[in-house]
Amino acid sequence: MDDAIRSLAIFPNYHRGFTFRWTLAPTLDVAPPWIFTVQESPTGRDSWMDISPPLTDKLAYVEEERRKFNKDRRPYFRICGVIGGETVYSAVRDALGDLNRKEWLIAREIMADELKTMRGMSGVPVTLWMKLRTGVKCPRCLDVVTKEVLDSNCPVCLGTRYVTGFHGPYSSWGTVTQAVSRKRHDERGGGVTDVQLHQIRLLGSFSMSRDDLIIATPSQRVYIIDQISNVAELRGVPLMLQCVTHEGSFADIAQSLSDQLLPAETA
Amino acid sequence: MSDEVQGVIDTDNLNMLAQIRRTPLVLGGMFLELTRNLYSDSSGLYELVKTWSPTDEKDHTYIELAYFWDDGDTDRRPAIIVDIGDLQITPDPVKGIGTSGAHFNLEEGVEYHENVVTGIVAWAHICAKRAEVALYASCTYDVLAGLSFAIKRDFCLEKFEVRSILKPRLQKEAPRDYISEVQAAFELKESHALKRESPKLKQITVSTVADTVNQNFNMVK
Repeated sequence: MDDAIRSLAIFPNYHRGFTFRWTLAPTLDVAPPWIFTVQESPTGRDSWMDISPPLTDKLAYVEEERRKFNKDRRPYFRICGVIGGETVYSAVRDALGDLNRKEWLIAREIMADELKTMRGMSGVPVTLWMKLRTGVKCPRCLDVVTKEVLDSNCPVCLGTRYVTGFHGPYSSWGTVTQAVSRKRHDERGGGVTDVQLHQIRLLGSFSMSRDDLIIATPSQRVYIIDQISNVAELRGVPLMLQCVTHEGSFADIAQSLSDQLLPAETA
Repeated sequence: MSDEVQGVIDTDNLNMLAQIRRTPLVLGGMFLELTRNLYSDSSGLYELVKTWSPTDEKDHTYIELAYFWDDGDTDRRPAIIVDIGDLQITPDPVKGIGTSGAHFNLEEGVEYHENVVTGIVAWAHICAKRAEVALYASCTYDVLAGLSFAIKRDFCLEKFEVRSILKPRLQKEAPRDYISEVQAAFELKESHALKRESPKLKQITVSTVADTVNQNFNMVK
């Protein structure tokens, strides 16, 4: 349980403060709710103070206020979590993460330009939901032998294998292209398929993967990620993501996520 | 078959249906209705396998003929696509007539043709998860194999055998979906008659002297 919180990453955010994201150990077998708090320390050793409200079942946090940065000040952060009644901490990271100061400023500039373009003309506010990749395994739909998902519309895990299915919502901006239709006839019995794919460009602050959801907040259209690639990265830190998605039915997904699917406040 | 699936049946049309040649569309319709029937009642299905609903509600299995299946931009999963493969048509040798598959009634001016039709029908299961598609394929296989004799009898087939289950694979055109097929071979006989509009042939009786003698002899007896 000590290493339950892993891979804390800190991203620059031109518009607001830092973006924090973290993951949970794949072997974690504790049911939600998981309550996390982002903590800051000037030294990295003591004087930890909470800088976020309690975050229930969320694995990312965007600071509300833009930070006034002092070049001589390098705050340290960690995540404090209450998981299954036990308090656990992540490793301590400094504000720049894996980058040095110059690289961090370049990364911030790239993301700032992209965000400015999205906010100014090309983008729409989006709400992100990410598939759970750890937690309590679904008691309803997993095969008893192979532990594979047998019901992709399972009401308990939503086809993700883990109870509650998704974590979120997280607000961001994205550029959504019109659908590209690829109508084909499957020679081996699949009938005619009309695959309509959308390309969505996102800021790299959030670690998106296949099957995660992107909801365009104004239109309430739901996109499900099929493929994802980093179109800009710096020393392995993703700055911009390009997602190939297909559109899902909002009604189905809204029903699945029930009242959780309220639009998040936009970044 | 339940009334919900078939609706009201006009017996005149039923008679007409009996005379329809079993073209790919008709065969497809037969197997489509069969599949929808089998998936209408959860008692015959595996646990977690969803039933078919005539109203296309979500949280049900979509079942459609490959000719008409068009995914569009909706997420219709899980789905079962009924596909009639290539049909092989060979003349059926008629006893005592020959091997051409046709014989003639010269007196009535009618040609009779008989063919043997063999083919493969495939049930392609499309699901978002690999294990899920294996579950659906297994369920279909189980039901079809168990009812193969009844299917053969009810559809007037000469043969109906489940031949193979293809392992799950990613669908080529939509790589987010897995597909697995259950294939069955079937064989049926179909016949049709062609009535010629040309004048009927006259029957010519040729009698010989010997025939006349025989006839007289029989009369004396």
